[in-house]
Amino acid sequence: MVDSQTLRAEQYLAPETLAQLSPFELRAKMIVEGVMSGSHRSPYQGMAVEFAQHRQYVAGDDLKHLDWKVFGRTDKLYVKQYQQETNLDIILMIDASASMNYGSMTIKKNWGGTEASRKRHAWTKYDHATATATAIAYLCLHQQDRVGVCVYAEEIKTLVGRSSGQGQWRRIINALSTHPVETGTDIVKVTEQILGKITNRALFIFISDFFEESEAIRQALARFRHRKNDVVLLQTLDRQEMQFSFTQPSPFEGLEGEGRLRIDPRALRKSYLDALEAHNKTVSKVALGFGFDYQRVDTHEPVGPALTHLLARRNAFIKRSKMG
Amino acid sequence: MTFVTAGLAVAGLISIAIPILIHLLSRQRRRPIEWAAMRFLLEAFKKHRRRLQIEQLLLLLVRCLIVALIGFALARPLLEDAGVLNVGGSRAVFLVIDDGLASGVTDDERTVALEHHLSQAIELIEALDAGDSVAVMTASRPAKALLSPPSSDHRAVVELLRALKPQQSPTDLPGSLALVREAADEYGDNYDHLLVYLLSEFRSGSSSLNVPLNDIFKDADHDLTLLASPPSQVAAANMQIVGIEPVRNLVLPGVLDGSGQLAVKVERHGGALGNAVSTVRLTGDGIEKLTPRVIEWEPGQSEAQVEFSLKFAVSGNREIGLTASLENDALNADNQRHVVLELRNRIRTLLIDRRSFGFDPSLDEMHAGQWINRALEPTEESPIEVVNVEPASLGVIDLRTADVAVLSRPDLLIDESWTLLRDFVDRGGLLIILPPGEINVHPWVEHIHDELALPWRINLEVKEHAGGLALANEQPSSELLRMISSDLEALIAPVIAYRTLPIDLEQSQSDSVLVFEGGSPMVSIAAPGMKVAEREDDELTSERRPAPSYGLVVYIAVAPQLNWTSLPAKPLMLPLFQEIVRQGLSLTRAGHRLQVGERPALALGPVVRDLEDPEGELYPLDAMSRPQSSFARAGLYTLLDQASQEVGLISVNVDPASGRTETQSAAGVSDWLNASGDWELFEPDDLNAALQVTKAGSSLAGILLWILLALVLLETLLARWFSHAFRASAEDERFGGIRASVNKRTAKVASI
Repeated sequence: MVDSQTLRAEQYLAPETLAQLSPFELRAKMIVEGVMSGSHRSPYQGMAVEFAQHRQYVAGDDLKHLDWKVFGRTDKLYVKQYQQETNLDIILMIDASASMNYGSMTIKKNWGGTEASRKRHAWTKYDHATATATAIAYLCLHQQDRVGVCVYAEEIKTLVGRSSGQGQWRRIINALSTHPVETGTDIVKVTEQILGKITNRALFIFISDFFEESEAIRQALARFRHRKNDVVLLQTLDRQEMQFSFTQPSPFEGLEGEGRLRIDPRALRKSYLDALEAHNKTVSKVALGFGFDYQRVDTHEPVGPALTHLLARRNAFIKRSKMG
Repeated sequence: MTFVTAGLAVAGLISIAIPILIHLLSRQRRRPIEWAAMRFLLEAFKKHRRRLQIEQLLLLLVRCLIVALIGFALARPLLEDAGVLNVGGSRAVFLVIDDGLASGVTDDERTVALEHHLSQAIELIEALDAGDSVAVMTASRPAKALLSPPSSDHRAVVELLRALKPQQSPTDLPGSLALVREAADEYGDNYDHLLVYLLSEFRSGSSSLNVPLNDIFKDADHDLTLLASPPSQVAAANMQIVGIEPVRNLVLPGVLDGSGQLAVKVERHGGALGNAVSTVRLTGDGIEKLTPRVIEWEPGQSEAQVEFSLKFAVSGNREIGLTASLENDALNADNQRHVVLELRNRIRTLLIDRRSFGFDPSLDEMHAGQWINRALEPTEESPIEVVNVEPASLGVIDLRTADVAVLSRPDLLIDESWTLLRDFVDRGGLLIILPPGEINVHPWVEHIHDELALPWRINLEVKEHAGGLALANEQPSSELLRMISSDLEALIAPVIAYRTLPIDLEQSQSDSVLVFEGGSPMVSIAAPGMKVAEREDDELTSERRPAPSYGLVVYIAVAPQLNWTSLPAKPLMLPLFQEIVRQGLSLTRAGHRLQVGERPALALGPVVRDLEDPEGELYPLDAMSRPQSSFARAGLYTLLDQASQEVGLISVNVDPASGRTETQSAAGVSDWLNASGDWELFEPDDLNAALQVTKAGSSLAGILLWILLALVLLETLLARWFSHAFRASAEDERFGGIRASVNKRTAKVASI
């Protein structure tokens, strides 16, 4: 007999997603603090095993780190710096606001999905976000990184503490079973709440549609930047939201209580797409401005390719950083 | 503003609600789409709200205008009254086609006149606009509204016209124009112009200028343009058989009483009356073949008569049909004429008189009935069989088997017997009434007026003529005594009357056969009229009116017995009574001569159920013994009983007057027509001149249709523009480009 919990976990993480992710490792672009030996750079140079670089001695430096060979050849004092490989703390921030409840792709048999998709018979953005989150969590846990999950809307709804233990995977799956609520998002408030709980630096992966004021997003990201955290923004959008290919005049009703609007979609398509694109660009610009990663995800596309693209980009960035 | 079809205009206005309703219903029907990115949609909407509202309103306005204009265009408004536009409107053309007997006349090229009329009518229809309508009335009796109300299906009208053939019935132009008036009053509101085209050659057979037309179009509800084709001036020589007159219609073969003698009357007209030779043939079943008679026409001669002496090849009581015919000429339908002769072995006469018993009385004691009996059946070989019946016991059976009833004792009849006698006469019997010689006061004469409805007022009291009253030397010409007219003067000379029960001349319209000196009739003949009860019934309509009587009543003002008159002892007695019976009976049979186009009530007896015309078409008889449709063709019609067995014949002939082909002057015809309205004779070469007049200006319906087309085009463009569908492709390309770039990047990474 198949365990329902196991079945759900398998539904969250389709085999093809894992197959696409396996050649890569998740590397933090920024050095994060880790408690376990892993493949991530430690922020504490000089204490680790691997030599990193030389720098000129300044008063107060520990003399045991002086490179006497260099002093003998050049008559100058240089201190050797080492890089310690640490574990990465990854916090998956899943947006469960009402707007994530939208989906235009009809679900197919054995696709899995959440309660929301089963209700609507459509692959919602929340479904795609949870699928993406579980893929990342699985990968990270596989490489001994500590993974936590935060499901939020106007505030934190569910928080799973960081762990790389045996039961963490199950806890994450249970947390992600929370279906979207009927309210909007308050990313600033959520940021305050999460940073109050996560004090060490970590990699925060936001999976959201970011349908909120760009100024709020900017304020939130600034807070993360201030605390020297790394952030990845995966903007998850439904293809219909990006195309707006409706042809018949119909009433449109906002999922987050914006009311009802009767329009001819063809008449407003251009303006809508312009507004959406402008917003997306602002979000992207803000993210990149803080040095964070930004990736737009189409819910009609498989989870794997988008994630592999993100990981490949981050690995390439890290390699460039090492060489530089 | 008025409309051809006001209902459509109203419907058009109401239809404006349709797009609005569709708009409102579509708003209610669509399920809302739940949408996540609502803030961007609201942002876009706020930016374009005013423009979208204006677009929607504009589109709605155009669509409403289209719907309204469709209604208006179909309704074809007439704006002349409002003075908005000087435009023409729809027309209704009432075509009156003369398809009567005279329309079958052919010209030198053997083209029938009706074909000319139909060509003109079709040419006229082809000149009409699509929105014009046509009604068709045929003028052959009975005039028919062949197509009414007017139809705009011109092709169907043309097909209808092409099926028309010349009829044998007379032309009834007044009747057909009355139908036009009726249709114009009823449907005129639907049209802007009403035109009446009367297509006829106006030969004398079609229109008798001597009979003035009524003012048919006086006080018409609408203005009508009345146009008539000009009278034909092409001579058409026509010869016709105007009469076929047997000496006696009731023939007693083998009796030398003139039976079997028959005269055929021929007339010619319409052309130059020069020398000519015509051949008249007489054919029929039951007679031996006859040699054709040749008429050698003298210049100017227009009438001729030929006589045939028939030899019968059959015997017994039966009817035979005879047909006289001429060669073909300009009009063939009147070249034949038919008659039915009734062959009888004996004539059964019912003598309604008190029987006398015992020895034969002496001559001066013989009463009237005895004298009459002797006069009618002088020998046992006499073709007249006399059967005595008591007045008080007169019954239906007695009368059913009798041809003639002689009522010598009317004073002894009970009231019911008068009704039986009336029925007997109605069925074609001959009733001879004489005053009873035994009484001086005659109250029974009231029945003459009430039951038989005869136009006589007979004195109640006997008038004594002490010195005797002789018959006048000058006697009226009477068909009843035609056979003895040459000897009549000698025969009447010795006859003197001592007592009479005369007809009151001041109150009577009598067809006298013999008259006394002083003018008082001795013998009168008449057909019964309507009964008093029927005359006083105001609700009697032509449909309910009883059948006319086909019999005759003869009244003899003296009782033929010697204390009244010397007649019984004089030579006149026998031929007088014999002729009254024989010829009187013949005259009742002559009453069955019928004409094409008529639908008379027939006195055929209860046995006859249907008539069958020469071509086998059945004419069922209604309860009033009227054929359910008018006689359509001339010929010998067979009478059929319930089992469709032949029980007799009747002859139906064309009306010779309706086949007269003399041309009439345009001025005469114009004057004649103008009695019924302001007619104009149109030029044959400019048939549709009047149409051109009424078509002045362009049709508003046409303008509306052009506007409508422009609006439909505008709506299409606006709907296309406002739907922004044309922009979708460019936006698709743009968005497709963004999405493609995302896919390209992910695909590239996946392949590493």
